[in-house]
Amino acid sequence: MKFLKIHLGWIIIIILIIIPAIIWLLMMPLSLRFDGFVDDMISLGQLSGLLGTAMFALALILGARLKFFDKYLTGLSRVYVNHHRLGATAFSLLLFHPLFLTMRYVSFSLTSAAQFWLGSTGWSVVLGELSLFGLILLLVLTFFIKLHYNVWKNTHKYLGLAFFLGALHMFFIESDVSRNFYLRFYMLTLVAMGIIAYVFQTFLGKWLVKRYLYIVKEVKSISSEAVEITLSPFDLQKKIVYAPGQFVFINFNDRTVSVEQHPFSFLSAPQENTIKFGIKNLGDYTNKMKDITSGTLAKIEGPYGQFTYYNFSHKKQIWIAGGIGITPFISMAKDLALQASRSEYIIDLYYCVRQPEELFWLNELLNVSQKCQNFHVYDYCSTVKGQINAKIINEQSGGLLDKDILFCGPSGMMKSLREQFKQLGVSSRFIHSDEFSL
Amino acid sequence: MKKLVAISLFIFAVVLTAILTAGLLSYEKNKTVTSNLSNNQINSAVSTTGQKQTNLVSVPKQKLVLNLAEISRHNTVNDCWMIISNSIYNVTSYVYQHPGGANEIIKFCGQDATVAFQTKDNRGRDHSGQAYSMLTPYYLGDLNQIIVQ
Repeated sequence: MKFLKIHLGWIIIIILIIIPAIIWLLMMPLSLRFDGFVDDMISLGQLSGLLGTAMFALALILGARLKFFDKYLTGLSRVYVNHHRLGATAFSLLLFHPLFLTMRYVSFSLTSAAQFWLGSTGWSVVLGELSLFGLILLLVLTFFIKLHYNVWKNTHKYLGLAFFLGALHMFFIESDVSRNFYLRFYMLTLVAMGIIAYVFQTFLGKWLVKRYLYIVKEVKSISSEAVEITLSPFDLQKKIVYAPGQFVFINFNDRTVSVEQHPFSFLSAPQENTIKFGIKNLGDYTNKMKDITSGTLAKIEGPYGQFTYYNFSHKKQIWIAGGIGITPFISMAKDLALQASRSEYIIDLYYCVRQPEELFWLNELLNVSQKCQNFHVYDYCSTVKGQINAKIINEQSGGLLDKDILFCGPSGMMKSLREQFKQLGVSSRFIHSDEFSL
Repeated sequence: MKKLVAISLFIFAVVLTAILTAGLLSYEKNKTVTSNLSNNQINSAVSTTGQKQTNLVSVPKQKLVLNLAEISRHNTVNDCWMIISNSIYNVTSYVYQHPGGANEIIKFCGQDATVAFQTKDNRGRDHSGQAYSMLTPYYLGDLNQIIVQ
């Protein structure tokens, strides 16, 4: 039951995707749908089109970055991971949709099969082709070409246009959607919600989404590779309220550096008067953070995320941080030290980096371990001790069962450790991660 | 997900390229065959009449009543007329392009195929709007209309 309660939101999303398939299946007996090669191809083409469109619409809806989703869909990080998965799966289905429909001609006329792609069957098919080729171009840019983040983000916005063309194709073409009221109504509603979500996020977000105005107080270089930025609210009455482990989207109002919006986890604890972020130099944008000057204004959107230690069931926890993934754990550790009510928590934190000089905030963590006797920090440098693995953690922490395991770090590391923990009998329900990248 | 997208894109590209290439080759081949057939008709016209002709043989125009008796005479795969919603269509050249197979058309050559067309021969679903519009080039006239052929 607890599983259902936690994942109810995602179960609803899955149901919304399969509803069109169910309506389609109920329209006529399956034996008529799959009554020979030609009928098989038409049916598979219709199904792939319906499911692909439903998934695409839901991917757009999830991309709207609503607080509601953050709360009911296990955190915004997970929402973005599934937005990505839905988008990729929708795209694959939509690629197969016209291929299946073409195959119905192949058995008797290759010319007709080719003509199907050359506009011989009408403008509603042409709309579908335009949508599909638009999707191909934009998703090749997403999956296979390494673009500058801002360039990629601006091209990604055009997926809404490709979706709109695809929706027009679906509604004007002669098909089961046009012949069945319930299917047409459902798909119209889903598509409309997708378009509204897209318009909201792409065009209206800057006016409709609440943002907090903050001022940069200090930019401290932690090392040649990382900075710590401290901000205070522009108006003390309008401070952001957050939980440890959450993150926000920030725009710094400094065109000489960058005005791009990026997500960062809080480094500070909620009890502090200022907010802090730890930023590692990982690319074009983060490289410029050291050049931000105090007095710069920043707009902060959020907070988002459900990656907070006291949201999980066990008081005994293992925290594993890889590189800059330490930042949410620092916020949580400080919160642990400041909140007397959390003294029953027993935490083992594994701070994993490549080189010892990358242990940027180790001192702060050691301070917490001195205040909280049940909070233990283990630094782990892969160049010194090798790669960390689940077996080492199991031995060091005296077992893994009856504990929640929290990860934040490089996706490859998280994926590998997750598999190792599952092999040691840890249930997926007790393994939680915060994704910094997809 | 990257792997799934890559595989899907690859299959899409290969199949589409194969279809367009095969379709073009098939179209060129059919064009050559049709052109040869036309030449043979000219040659046989010359040999029949004993005179040189520089154009195709022409049949003197005659009036034709598109009644049931006339339609029933065109009942083979090489000469296939049918009635759909009181309109008469000569679908001879389309028989082998039919997505549902040639046999589904041959069954109704020389007959009223209205119900079969509207139900896909009792499968419970009509042909698409596009299928209806594809009938246009094959239209001869309405039932009982007198046409000049």
